[in-house]
Amino acid sequence: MVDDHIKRKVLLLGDGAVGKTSLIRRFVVDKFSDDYITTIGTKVTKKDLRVEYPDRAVDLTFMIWDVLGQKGYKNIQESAFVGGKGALLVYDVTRADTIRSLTDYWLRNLGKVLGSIPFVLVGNKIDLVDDRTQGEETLEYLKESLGVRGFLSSAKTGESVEACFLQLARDIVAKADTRLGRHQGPEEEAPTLIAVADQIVTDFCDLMGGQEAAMPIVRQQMSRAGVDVNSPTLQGLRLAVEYLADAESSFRNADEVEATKLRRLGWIKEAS
Amino acid sequence: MHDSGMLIRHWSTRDGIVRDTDIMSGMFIVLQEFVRDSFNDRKNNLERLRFGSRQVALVRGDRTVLAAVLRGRYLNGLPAKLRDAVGDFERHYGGVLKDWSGNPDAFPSVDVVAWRFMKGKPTDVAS
Repeated sequence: MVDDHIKRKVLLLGDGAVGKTSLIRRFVVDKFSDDYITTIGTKVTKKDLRVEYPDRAVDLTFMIWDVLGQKGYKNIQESAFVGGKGALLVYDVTRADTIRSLTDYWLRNLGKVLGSIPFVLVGNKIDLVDDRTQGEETLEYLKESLGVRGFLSSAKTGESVEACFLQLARDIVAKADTRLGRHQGPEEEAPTLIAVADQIVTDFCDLMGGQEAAMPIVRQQMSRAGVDVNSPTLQGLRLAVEYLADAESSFRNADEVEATKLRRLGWIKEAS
Repeated sequence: MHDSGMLIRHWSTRDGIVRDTDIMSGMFIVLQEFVRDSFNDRKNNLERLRFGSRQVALVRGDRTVLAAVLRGRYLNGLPAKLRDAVGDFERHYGGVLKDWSGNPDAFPSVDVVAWRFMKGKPTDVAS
């Protein structure tokens, strides 16, 4: 555990009408009116969640600040940023102007108040496009240029909504771990097998759309491969990658499964 | 409350606040900022709210806000006492407050604040 229980303020940012409030309604049990956002600029909600790793689980409480997206309310927006420890930056995949705003407005203003904090990109309303290819390419470009994780989501169907928040939770826990010196320092060249196991699990969870669905499969396949998560072996991890690929083959095409498997085997090779 | 809106500690001698205190804390700060922004005045603060027979006295320090919810019409010098308490708290925990992560355990002696104002032991202490 990083702490017994971590509580963090996180921000939900992006232009007006990109679907921030709808995303949050998918994620939290909400008892308060959304009118707060238009009347006083911000609404605060709360969500308890658990991030599972192969060797531990971390409980978090997110205090989620859904901030008015309309530009021109800079004072209210910037005062809402204070104390934020992470952010979801949301854009609408059908509106290019909302993508430009991420860098030109939101990230710039966020950086002025908070410096560098973990954030995750969310391309929302993916249910409205017929061909996902362009959305995927744009997201890949943004992820690469900003060096962060991102998801295509739909508040309407629920696609990747939980995954976005869980990824942010993982990034925040990782930052807390680093602060407490729990990770290997930069002088450590090769990642440890525990770190590789964690990376594989995270990758699998992302593909499955969240930990809730993925972790039971992960536990089952890790156990089947004889992997002790506190002290994984090369052989055990290789076997686990094979078993996870088998599990994935029921919902992904063979080429994708093979590519994912090779990527994961590459991580193991790097650590060996 | 921290000025980020994160709740540091909540004490109650009776069932006064019915909703989630973490969210109440955040929304108090949002309201405070909204009023300051509306009047274009960053120096002054929202100091009092009244709702039926209840009122809320708010005192803002450099990084924290102490709010007291009470019944009755008169404050009887309460704001000055709240200001003293905020001042003492911030002097003691100034270093922690500057970059507080949100962990309430960072303030082990925070309950001293409650002992100043509440007779007997608070029946519901939460953070």
